[in-house]
Amino acid sequence: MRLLTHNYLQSTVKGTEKGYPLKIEATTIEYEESPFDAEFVRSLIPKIDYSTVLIGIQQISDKLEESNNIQGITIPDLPESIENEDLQEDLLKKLHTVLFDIHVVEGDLVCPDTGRRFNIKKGIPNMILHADEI
Amino acid sequence: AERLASIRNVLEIGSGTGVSTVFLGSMLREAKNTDATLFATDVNKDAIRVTCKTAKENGVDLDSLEAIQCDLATPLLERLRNKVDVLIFNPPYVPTPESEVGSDGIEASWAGGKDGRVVFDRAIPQIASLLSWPNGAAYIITVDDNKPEEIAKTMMDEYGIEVVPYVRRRA
Repeated sequence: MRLLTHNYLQSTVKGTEKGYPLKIEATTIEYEESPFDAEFVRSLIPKIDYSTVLIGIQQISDKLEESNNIQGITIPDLPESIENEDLQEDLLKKLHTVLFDIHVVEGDLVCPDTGRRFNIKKGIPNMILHADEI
Repeated sequence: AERLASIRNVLEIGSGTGVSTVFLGSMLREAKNTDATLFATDVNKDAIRVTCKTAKENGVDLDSLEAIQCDLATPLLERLRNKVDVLIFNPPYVPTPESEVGSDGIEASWAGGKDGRVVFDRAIPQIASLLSWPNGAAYIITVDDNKPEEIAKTMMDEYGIEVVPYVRRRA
């Protein structure tokens, strides 16, 4: 699960106040570099909730340092806000890395309101609700 | 081509093998649309995996495809409200006993309960809230058993959404 995907996911369990953003509790993280397209990243910016991106990075950064297969990767430093930021290529590149190249392979997404856990297995978050949650 | 160039968000509910979304993805690529984000959902984990594989094998950038295991588009409703320009839905439309509906195995790809409408009917309010106005369009497959005229009436009366038959063929 990429941070871009995480940006869109919400818990809609009955009785949940907001259910967003889901807290990432990652147990396995992988890094896979993908081709960078500046214009594509630029076009994504109005679509994403940037504060959720920052929160997501924070939540996985501890785990990232422990993960053996991605030693030497540091999460790029992103500004607190991108509203008035000059969207230069190196900022877009950092955003690309954060949104696309870091994959939570195993772990859970946890609802901030109810604590309901959604399991991530082999990179796929399972958002299916139980019958009594609808 | 103009329409393809203006698409920002595509959502396929029940992507299965992913062919529909991936096909649209390749058309978007050909139309030089690099802004579109594709979302694909399915209740079946293997379908999600296959959708991603289909995308990869057909040169559709995995970066622009978000594949999520869920029921209909439930976890995406808030974030994609009124934002989906193209919605694709090939629902489980086969009339079956109620008991066959609601699994996440392969039966989920066809089992539609009474009139083959059980899953589709749950999707209607979601589709109505997801489509962008005024040009958002949903492409949906039905069979005559699903009573498409009834669907069209409901969509118009309750949501102001016009339903027109697009293509008709023998199954």
